[in-house]
Amino acid sequence: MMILSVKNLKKYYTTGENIVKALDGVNLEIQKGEFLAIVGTSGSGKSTLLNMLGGLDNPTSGVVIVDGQDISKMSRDELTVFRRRKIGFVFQNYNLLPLMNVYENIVLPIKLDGIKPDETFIDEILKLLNLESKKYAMPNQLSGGQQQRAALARALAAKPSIILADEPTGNLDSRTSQDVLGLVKISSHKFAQTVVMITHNDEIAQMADRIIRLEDGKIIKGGENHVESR
Amino acid sequence: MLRVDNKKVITVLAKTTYRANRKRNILTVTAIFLTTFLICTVLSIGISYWNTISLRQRRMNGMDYDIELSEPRKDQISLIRKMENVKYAGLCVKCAVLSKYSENLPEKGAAKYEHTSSGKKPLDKIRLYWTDGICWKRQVIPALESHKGHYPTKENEIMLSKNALNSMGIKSPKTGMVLSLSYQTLNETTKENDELQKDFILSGWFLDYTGSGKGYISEAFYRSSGVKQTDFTQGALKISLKNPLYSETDIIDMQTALSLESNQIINADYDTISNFCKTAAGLVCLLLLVFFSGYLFIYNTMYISVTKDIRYYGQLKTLGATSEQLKSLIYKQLLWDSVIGIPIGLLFSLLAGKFAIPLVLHAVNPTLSEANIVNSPLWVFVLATAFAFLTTFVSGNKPAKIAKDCSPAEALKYIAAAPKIKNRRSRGGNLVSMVRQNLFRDKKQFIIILFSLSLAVSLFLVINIVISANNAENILNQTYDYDMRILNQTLLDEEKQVITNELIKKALNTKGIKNVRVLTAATATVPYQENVYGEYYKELYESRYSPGNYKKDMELYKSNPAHYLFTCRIVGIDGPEFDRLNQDLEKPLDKQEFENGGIAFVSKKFTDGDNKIPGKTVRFSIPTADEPQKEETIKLGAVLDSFPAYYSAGYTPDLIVSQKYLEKLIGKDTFVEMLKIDYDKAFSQSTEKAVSNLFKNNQLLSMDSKLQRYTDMKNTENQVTILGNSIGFIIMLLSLLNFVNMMSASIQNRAKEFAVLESIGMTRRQIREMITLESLSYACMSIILSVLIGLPAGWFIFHSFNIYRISFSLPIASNLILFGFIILSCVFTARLILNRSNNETIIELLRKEDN
Repeated sequence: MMILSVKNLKKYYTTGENIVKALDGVNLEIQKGEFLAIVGTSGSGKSTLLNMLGGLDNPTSGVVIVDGQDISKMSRDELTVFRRRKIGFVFQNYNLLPLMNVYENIVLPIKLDGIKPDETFIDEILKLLNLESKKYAMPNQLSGGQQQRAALARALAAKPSIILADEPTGNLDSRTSQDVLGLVKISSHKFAQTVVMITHNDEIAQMADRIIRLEDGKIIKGGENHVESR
Repeated sequence: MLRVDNKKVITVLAKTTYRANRKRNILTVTAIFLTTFLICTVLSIGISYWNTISLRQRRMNGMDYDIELSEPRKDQISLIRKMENVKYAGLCVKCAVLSKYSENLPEKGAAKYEHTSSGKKPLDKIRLYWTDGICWKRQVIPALESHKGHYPTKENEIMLSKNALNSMGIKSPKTGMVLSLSYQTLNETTKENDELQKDFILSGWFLDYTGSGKGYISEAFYRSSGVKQTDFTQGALKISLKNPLYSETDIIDMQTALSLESNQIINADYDTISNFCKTAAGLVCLLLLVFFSGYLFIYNTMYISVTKDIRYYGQLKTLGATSEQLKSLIYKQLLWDSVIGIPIGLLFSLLAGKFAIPLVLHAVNPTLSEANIVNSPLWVFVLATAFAFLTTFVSGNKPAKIAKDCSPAEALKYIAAAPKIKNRRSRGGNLVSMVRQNLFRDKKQFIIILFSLSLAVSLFLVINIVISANNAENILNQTYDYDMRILNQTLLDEEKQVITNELIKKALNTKGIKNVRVLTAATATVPYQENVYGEYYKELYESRYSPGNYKKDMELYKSNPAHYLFTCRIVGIDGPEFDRLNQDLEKPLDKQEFENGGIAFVSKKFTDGDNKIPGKTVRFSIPTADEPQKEETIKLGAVLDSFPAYYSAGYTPDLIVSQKYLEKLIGKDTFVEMLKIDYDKAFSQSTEKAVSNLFKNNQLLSMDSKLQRYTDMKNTENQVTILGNSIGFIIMLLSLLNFVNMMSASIQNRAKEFAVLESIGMTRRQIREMITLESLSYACMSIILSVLIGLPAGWFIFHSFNIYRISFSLPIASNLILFGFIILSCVFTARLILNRSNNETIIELLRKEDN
């Protein structure tokens, strides 16, 4: 079952007289439960693509369909609500809120939806991510790996169907990176989630079900019609 | 060490930084502009406001002087005029009192005219003074709003106040018109009924704010009247001092130098210095408030963006910028901000003072000239400039200092207050807990914002209290205990019951009338009673007002209690008047007992204290009663310094009893002396007109109206009101703008945080709600704080300026309006600013902050 699909997606920036084509007609389909890795050089358009999938950025043209809904037609607030219900975001620089403890950071998207957090589930995630002892710690008291795990916990807590992760291990050492990735994989299996992850690291990319490679805003490998089974 | 010329690179860097922070610059320039405008405008309007209320006070006094010497001798006058601290000493002698005006006289120039014995209108004690040139030019004219014609030079010339002319029914006077007037001179040999008649020629008229009828006559008239400047209570030397701050010692020194006669006194206010200190303290307090809120305007805006700046300066430090270079970089930018903000502030202040306010004033009162309503002295501009400049540099230096004190790496990661937060077992994460966290995230910032907002609001509160204390309506409400007083003027001649029951009923039924207080009165004979008034009479005869020889007079009193020197007035008052008199007393009387004639008020004015009168029972009789000889007794309850009625009798203290009781004593229609009329709405034009129509045709009644006095004061009052309201309005505007500026700065600085929140699922609507809640919390807290600061400060300042002894009241309406506006602005500013940043995508916002 297809959960994400992108059709002829373009994102052009104008800087002075030059037009930068960050995404230039990308087509992509992702199946439910799939773990997809996006690789490519710096400036190839990976982050732009991920941001388009999560509705954080507006495309110049093209269609993004998430769980059957065309998100390019949604208003900003509709998109935000859609995101907090369907998508969990993990940023390279974690983007934890410095004034909130780990628990508060994790439950915020749920509470913003007006829902009472499922405490057992939260505890389960915290246990899974080995953060039980850090439940009430402030972000600045955590190591990079712990912060990234907290960010992951936040992405998982609302039980989203899709997790979008932008170089989640970019700031972590290789050991911690492996740990975090392992956890992503376990949790996505456990909760039947689709994972789309950007990485520079080939070793990490190998953990994915499928790898796509972007160059100059175009998918050159592993796209719509290039299902690469591993 | 080699000197490296890096000035150029710093300038280039400063320019680049400055251009990149356009939004921030707008906010900083706005804060500098607001502060300059606040200081400059409040000071210059404040000075003009102060001048106008001082002018009004002079006009209410009717003469401008500091102290006076009663009954001055010629040698004393020349001595005083030579004294070092004396600026002017003008002589003023009260010569006569006008008692009647004969109407229907042809004007001067008509071939022949005859006196008419009928049509004589009784007048309400219009006193005629003679003043010498110094007094007239230096002391009287400065206290007049306007004067037409010239000071009387011929024996039959007269100059009258507008009020006096009004009481004669002359609405449009002309110089040279003939006024046939009856008068009594105040020559000490004059008996009460020595009434003289004269055709005076009106040489001019004037308007002051004393509210009483008076006139000036020529030196020739004064000489012929027989009154001497040394006559008791008639002559006075009005002295204006070079330094109006004098102490009791100064006056005693002056007294010693002048060798005063036994009954001569120097009337002086020994509290001048302490009053001055109080006023100065009030002004200083007010100025501190103005300056401090100005300082916080700038500091607040700068402090909000301190974190961002620290990170930026940290970055520069990692690249090798020294602290000195950072300082120079910051100072350059601050200089540019000041160079833009300060002149705009000064310009707007000038525009407000020279054009906007005069324009409003002219629109409200076209008779006022637009020229020089607001004086903006140069020093005000210099002061405002210097202050804004200094404040900008002091507050702008903050981030550089922090960046200087921490390592570049720390500076790069600087998060205001965050490291101080320890593990909290908080389970928040909802809107309210987020708002709470945001408010208290940086305690110092929280306090600065709160104080900045509160001080501006407190300033508004205090200014409003001062304005309302100086509002003529409030002053008049305090000095007048009625809206209109109708006085029966037949008392001096032949008492006539002019104020009939029918008239009272008509008055009561007039639309807009709340109350008609009826005062009835009669003259009573009080036999000599040592145990009741013994102490009073002793003190009276020892005082300056001593009527003569104590022993001789007491013998006269004992043998002839009905002698006019020893009679008193007995005044009957109704319930409302009782309530008014009773409310200010330390020991109020029992209303029922008063009604039943069991107890009375006593009113006296020549002695201090109560002379052990309260609690005693006095015997008296009323010669005009049905049983003139019947002796009555009544207990004396409390001593009043004021006298609610108008006409007086002898020296024995007057009795104030219930009307019912007085009626019972007299046995027939008691004589109605006056009506005090209260309107539903004080200063109501329509009610005043209706009441005037009721009484105006009756020549035997005189009207004294609060509205009339207010109308006389209209010109100054318009000016006072507009200037006062302008200050209030400007401060209100500034405190609102301060709110808006603070919120804009805060929202702009947290753009990334909002982007993060949005990325994890907080909608714009929720963000807006959060910010609105935050700013509402600031609003509510600062409103509460401003009430806590503003009320005591306002109370203190009010009492230091309160020369009219009016009671403290809070201008609630204007403050509620400000509070309402603040709350509204909180809601709408958040909405407006957030909507403006709607065009940028979340990812743009996230990235912008990262770079």
